[in-house]
Amino acid sequence: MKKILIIAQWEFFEKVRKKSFLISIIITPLIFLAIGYSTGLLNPVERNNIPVPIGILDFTKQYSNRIIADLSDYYYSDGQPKFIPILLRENPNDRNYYDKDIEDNIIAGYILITKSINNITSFELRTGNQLNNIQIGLINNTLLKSAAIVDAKEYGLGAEGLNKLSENLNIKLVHLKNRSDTEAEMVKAFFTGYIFIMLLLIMIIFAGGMFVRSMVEEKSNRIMEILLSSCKINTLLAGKIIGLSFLGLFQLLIWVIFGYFMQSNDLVSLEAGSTLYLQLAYFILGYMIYTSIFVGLGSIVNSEHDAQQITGNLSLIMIIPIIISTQVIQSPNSLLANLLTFFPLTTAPVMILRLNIYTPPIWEIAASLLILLLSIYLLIFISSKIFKIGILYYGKRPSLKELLSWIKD
Amino acid sequence: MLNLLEAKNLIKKYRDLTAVDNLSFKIMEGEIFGLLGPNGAGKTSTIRMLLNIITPTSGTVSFDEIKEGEQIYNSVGYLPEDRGLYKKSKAIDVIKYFGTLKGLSKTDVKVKASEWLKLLKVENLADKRIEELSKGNKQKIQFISAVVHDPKILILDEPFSGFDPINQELITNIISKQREAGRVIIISTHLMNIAESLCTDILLINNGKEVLKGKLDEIKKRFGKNTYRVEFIGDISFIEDLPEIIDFKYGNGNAEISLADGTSPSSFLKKITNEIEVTHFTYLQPTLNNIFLETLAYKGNYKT
Repeated sequence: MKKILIIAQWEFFEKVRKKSFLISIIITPLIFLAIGYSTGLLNPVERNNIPVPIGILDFTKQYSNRIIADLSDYYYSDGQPKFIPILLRENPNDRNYYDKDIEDNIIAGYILITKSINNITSFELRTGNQLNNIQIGLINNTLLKSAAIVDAKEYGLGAEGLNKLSENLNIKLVHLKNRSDTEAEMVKAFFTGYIFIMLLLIMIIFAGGMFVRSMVEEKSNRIMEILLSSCKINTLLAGKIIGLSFLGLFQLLIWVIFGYFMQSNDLVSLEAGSTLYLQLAYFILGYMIYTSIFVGLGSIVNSEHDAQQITGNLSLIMIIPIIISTQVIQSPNSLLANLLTFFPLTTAPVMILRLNIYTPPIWEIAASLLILLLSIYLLIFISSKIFKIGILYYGKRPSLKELLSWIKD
Repeated sequence: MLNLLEAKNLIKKYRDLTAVDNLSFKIMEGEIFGLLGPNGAGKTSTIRMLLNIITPTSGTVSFDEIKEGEQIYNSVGYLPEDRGLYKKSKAIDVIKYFGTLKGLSKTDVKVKASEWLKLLKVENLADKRIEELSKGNKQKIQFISAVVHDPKILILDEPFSGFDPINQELITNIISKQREAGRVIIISTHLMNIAESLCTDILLINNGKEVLKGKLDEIKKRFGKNTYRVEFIGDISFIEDLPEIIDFKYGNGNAEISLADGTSPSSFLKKITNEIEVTHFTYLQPTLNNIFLETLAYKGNYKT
C-alpha cells in the first residue's frame, strides 16, 4: 500500500539524515581498522614494487639452486620481482645465526634446510612478522615444488619425466576453514568473526536506539495521534518495520562497500570465505529479529530514560556471544555453542562466529535459519499486539502482566 | 444542510473506567461543533473514536458521503491538544509528510503547502527546522499540517493554545472561512469564551456523560434569567422595594436587574422611567461560562 511506503520512506530518510547516524556509520569501521592494524591482525597486503629479501640456508646443498631459481620467478604486475633470494653462508656453530638479521630487518626471513642423521630432510621458514600470508603461501609452494622436483631427479627421473612433473605439479595454497589449527589462524578467524558480530551489535544499538527514541518523540508529542488519524495501525507498523530494515541494510551496504574498497586497494586483507553469503544472511536476520523486538518495546516507552534502559538491556543479550566467543572459536562444537545456536537471540552472532572456523552440518544451518525466520515472524506478531495498545498508552510503563494481557487480546 | 457526521451511543470502557458513556450527536455541514467539558471529561477519547484512532467499546461513528476505509482517513484533519512535530525536521518536510499521508500527491502537497504558508504569513519559515521556530510559529506549522489536504472534517483540540491575540484572530478567520466552505468543524475546549465566540452547536460532557447539548443560541435562551442591564441618571435605590425584582446589583449609573418569571420588561421599564432617566436598557444573555459552571454544579443531574 502507498501509505506504508510513505511511512517507510520518512522513517528511513529522517534517520539517515541525522548526524549521529552518519557518524556511527563512518566511525565504526574506522575503529575496527585501527584495532586491526594496531594488533597486526589486518596485515597490509604486499605493496607493489617492494621485493622482499629472503635468505636460503641449505645444509644439504641440494635444494638451494632450484629454490633460488623458482623464487626469482615471481613478479609483481609491474615487472618487479617479488623476492630477492639470498644464499646464506653456512655457519656450523649456530644454525639460527641469521635470526638476528630478521630482527634487524636485513632479510624478511630465511629458509633453513637441514638433513637429520636418519636422512629426513626438513624445510623451515623462519620469519618475524615481515611476511604476509600471501608471501608465506608463495614460499611454501616453492618449497614443496622444488623439493619434489629435486628429489625426483635424485631418484632417477629422466629429463622428460622431470619436465612433465614440473608442468603437472600445481601447488596451490587453499585455506580450509576446518584446518585452521595454527594459533595465528585462530586469532584471525576470531577477529573476523568478532568484527562481524561487533558490527551487528553496534548496528542494533544505534539503529534500534534511534528508532526507540523517535517513537518516544512521536508519543510524547502526540504525533502518533496524527499518524493514526491518517492510516491504519497495521500500515504504520509495517511502514516502520520496513523503514528500519532498510536503514539496517543501508548501513550494511555502506560497510560492505567500505570493506570492498579497502580490500581492492590492498589496504587490508580480509578473508572472505565461501561462507560469506551465509554470514551476511545471518547478519541480516540477526538484525531483523532485534528490529521486531524494538518495534514492540519502543511502543511502550514514554521517556528517553526508559528508552535507554530498554536498548541497554537488549544489548546485554547481544553481548553474551561476544563474551563466550573465545570458547565458541576454540570448540565450535561444544554444548554451549550448540545451545546458543538454537536460542533465537544469539543464533545469528554465534553462527557467524562458527562459520568463520568451520562449516557446521547442513541440518544445523537449515534448522537455525528456520528458527530465526519463525522467531522473527512470531516476534512481529507479538510486537504488533503490544504496539497497537502501547502507542496510545501514556503514563507509567505497563507491567509484564499487562503486556501479557495485551498480547492475549 | 447535510448531516455529515453522526455518532450513535458511543461507549468507551478502559478496564474499570468508563471514559465515554453513551454519547450520541449529529453534526451538519456548516456547523462549528463545540465539544466542551472540564479536563478528564472524556473529550479526547471521544475525538479519538471519531478519528478512528481507537475503536468504541460499543456504538458507531458514521460519515455521510464518505466511503469506508482510506477515504475516512483522508477526509479528516486533526490538530491534537498537545502540540509537537518532528523537532529536527524542516517545517516544509513535516507538512509534506502529513499531507502525502493524507493522500495528497507530491505535486499537490507542494502547491497547497505554499498556499497555506502564505495565508498564515510564515512562508519564509518553510526551510527552518521545527526546533528553531517560536512557539506561535510551531503552532502555525502544526495547523497547516492539519488542514493542508483540505479535509471535509476538521477536528481541533484546544485550537488557540499557544497563540497570541493577533494569531488567534487569524485562526478564527480561517476557521470561519472553512465553515463557509462547508467544512464540518469540531472544536474541543475547556475555554468557554472561545466556544462562545465560535461555536454554533455545543455538547457539554462530564465524566463521559452528556450534560448539555444543542444549538448555542437556544441553550442561551433556555438559560436566560430575565436579566437586564440598565444605565441611568438619578437614584435607583427605590427598586429594592419592587416586588417583581428577584435580584439586582448596581453601581455608579448602571445596574443588573433580574426580574421574576412572567414580568414584562416593558412594563417594568415604564415603572422605573417615572423615577429615573433611563439611557440604556438591554437583555443580558447568560455567558456560556456561567451556563457551564451552573450546569456542572448540578453534577450531571441536569435533565435536558
